[in-house]
Amino acid sequence: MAGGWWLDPGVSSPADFLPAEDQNAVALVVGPGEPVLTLTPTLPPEASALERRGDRAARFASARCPVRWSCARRGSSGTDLEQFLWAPGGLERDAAERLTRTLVGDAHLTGFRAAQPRDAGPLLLALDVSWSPAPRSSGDTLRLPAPLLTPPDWGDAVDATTRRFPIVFEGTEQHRDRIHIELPRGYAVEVPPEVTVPGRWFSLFVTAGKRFHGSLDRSDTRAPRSRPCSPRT
Amino acid sequence: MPSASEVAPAIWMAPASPERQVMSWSELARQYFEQSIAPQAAPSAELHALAARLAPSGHGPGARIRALHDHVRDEIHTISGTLERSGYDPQPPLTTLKARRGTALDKACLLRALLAEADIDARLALARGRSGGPADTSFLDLGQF
Repeated sequence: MAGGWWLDPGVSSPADFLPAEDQNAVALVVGPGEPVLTLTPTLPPEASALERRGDRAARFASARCPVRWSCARRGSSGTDLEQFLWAPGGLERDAAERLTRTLVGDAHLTGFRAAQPRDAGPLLLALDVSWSPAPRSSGDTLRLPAPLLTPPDWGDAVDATTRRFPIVFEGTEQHRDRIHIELPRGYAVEVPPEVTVPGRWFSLFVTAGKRFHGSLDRSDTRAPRSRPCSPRT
Repeated sequence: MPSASEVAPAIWMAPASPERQVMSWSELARQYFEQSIAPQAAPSAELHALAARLAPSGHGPGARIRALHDHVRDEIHTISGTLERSGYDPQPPLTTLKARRGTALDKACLLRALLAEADIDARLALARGRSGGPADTSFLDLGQF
C-alpha cells in the first residue's frame, strides 16, 4: 500500500487526511487482489494543524467593541469548532455566548456572526461585545482581562490525585494561536508576559511600534501516543 | 484514556464453522471479498456516468480522487454502526447512491466502485478504529473491524 491514499468517506475529513481514529490502526485489505493484514499510516503533527487569529481592541470603561476570530485548519483540527458553528440552524445565541466567554472573557455579547466555508478558507467568527469596564484602568496602568488565550479544558483528566488511567494522545496535532491587541493611544507595554518553556502556552512575545501591536504566540505540538505514567488503581 | 477493551475483561464470540479453525486472515479476507463484496460490485452505466462527470479523465489523479471522495463523503448520509451490528454484507453501490445513505462500509464500497469506473485502482480495507482498542490478530473474526 506504500505511496497510496487511505480514504475514509464515512467521516468529514479531507481526502488526503486520514482521521486520527483511523491512523496506526489495524486494517484488513480484503481486495481486489492479494489480501493483507497491515497498519494504516501515522501522519505527522503538521498534517493536522490549527491556527487561530484574534483581533481585539482594549478600550476604557464600558464600550462596545468588535472581536474577530478566525481559524485556519488542516486535517482534523478544528472539527469540533466547525461542527459547533455549522450546527443546523446556525450558531445559536447561547452557544455564541459560551464562545464569547471562552475567547474574550468577561464580556456581554451584543451581536455575532459566523461563517464556515467548508474545506476552504478559515472559520470566521465576528463577535460584537461590550465590556463593563474591561479592561480595567488603575491610575496610569491598564490591565487586560484574562484569559488572553484560553488553554484547553482538561478538567480532571490530568489531575494526578484523581486520575486512574494513563493519558493517551491518539492523534497528533499542531496548534498555533495568535492574538492582536490594540492599546489606547498613549499606552505602552511595560511588563510583557514572561516567555516560558518553548512549546508551552506562551513561547514568543513580540512588540512592534510605539503604539503597541503585540502578538502572543502559542505553539503546542502533542506527541503521538505518549503514555506518561502507568495505570493507577 | 485507554479503550474499555484494554482495561476490562472481555469474551469474544464468533460464528462457529469447521473451516474457521484453519483459516488465515488472508483466506478469511479473500472469502469475504468474493462472497460479500465482489457480487455487489457489478459495473454500472449510472456509476460510470457519475464518475466521468465528477472526475473527468483530463484532470490529474489527485484531483479526481478528491472529487469522488468528497462526493461520497458529502452527498451520502453516514449511518453509524459497526460491521458486526450493521451486517457484513454491504448494499450494492448503486443502492447506496440512490438512497443517499449508507454505513461506512456502504460508502467505502460506493467510493471504490466510482474509482474503478474512473479507471483508478482501489482496494477495500476494513480498519479497526483505535478507540476500539488493539485488535487481537490471533482471533480470526471480521467483527473486530
